[in-house]
Amino acid sequence: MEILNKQFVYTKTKFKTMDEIFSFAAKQLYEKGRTTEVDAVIRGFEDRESGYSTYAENGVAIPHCKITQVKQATVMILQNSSKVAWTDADEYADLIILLAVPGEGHNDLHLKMLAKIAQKLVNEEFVQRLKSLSKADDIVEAFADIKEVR
Amino acid sequence: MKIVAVTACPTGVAHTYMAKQALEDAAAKLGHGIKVETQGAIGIENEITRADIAAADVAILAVEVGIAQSERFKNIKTVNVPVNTAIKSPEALLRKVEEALKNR
Repeated sequence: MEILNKQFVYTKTKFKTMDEIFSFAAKQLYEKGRTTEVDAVIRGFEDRESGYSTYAENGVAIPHCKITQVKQATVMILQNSSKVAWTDADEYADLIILLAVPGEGHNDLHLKMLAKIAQKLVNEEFVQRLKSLSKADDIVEAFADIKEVR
Repeated sequence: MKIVAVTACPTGVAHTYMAKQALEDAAAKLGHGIKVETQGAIGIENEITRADIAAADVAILAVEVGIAQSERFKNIKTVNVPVNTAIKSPEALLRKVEEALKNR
C-alpha cells in the first residue's frame, strides 16, 4: 500500500494558478496509473472547491476528490515556490496537499490514514517544517509516525 | 467549560478531521474539556453519548452538512459554526463561546 510515496511529492514547483495545479495533479495521477480519466479528476477537485474552499490556514490548501475514476487512494504534496490565490478572500497557498480517493468500495484504513495526514496539517510548526524541507524523501519521512503510510 | 462537539464536511476525508484536531488542541491550550465526534467518510467515530451531553456545558457543531442524530443536542446550548472556523480560529471560537456562556 502506498498512500504517500515520494513519486507524488514535488518540491519547488512554479505553478501560478489553482487550475494549473489541478491539471498537473490529474495528469500525474494518470501517468502513474492511479486514474484512467484526467478530466474526471480535475472536475472532482473543482467540484469540491466550488462547494466549499479547501484552504486551511498557514498557506496550506487540501484539495480532494472522492470519485469512482480514482483507482487507488493517493496523497500528492506540492511545495510551490510562490503563493497561489486559493479563494476570493485573499487566501493564498504555497503548500498544496491533494487527496485523491476512490469513490466506491470504502477502504477505512485508507480513509483513516488520510484523516491522520490532514490532522497533522493543523499544526503550524509541522506546516513550516514541511515547507522548509527540500528533499522529497524528507517530506515523506515527516509523516513517518503515521503507520503504514508508505 | 466542558464541551461536546461534532465535525463534518462535504466529502468527509480531510476537514472533518482537521477541525477535530484544531478544536482539541485549542481546548487543551485553554484548559477546557472537550470530546469531539467526527462524522466523515469513515462514518461516526468517537460518538457523543447522552451522558456526555448531560455532563457538558455547551455543544459546538462545526458542520457543513446535515448531521446524523442532531436531535441529541436539543436540550443543550448549541453553537453552530462553519467547519473552517474551527480549523482557522479555534481559540477565538472557544473564547467567544465561553464569553457567551458567562453572559447568558
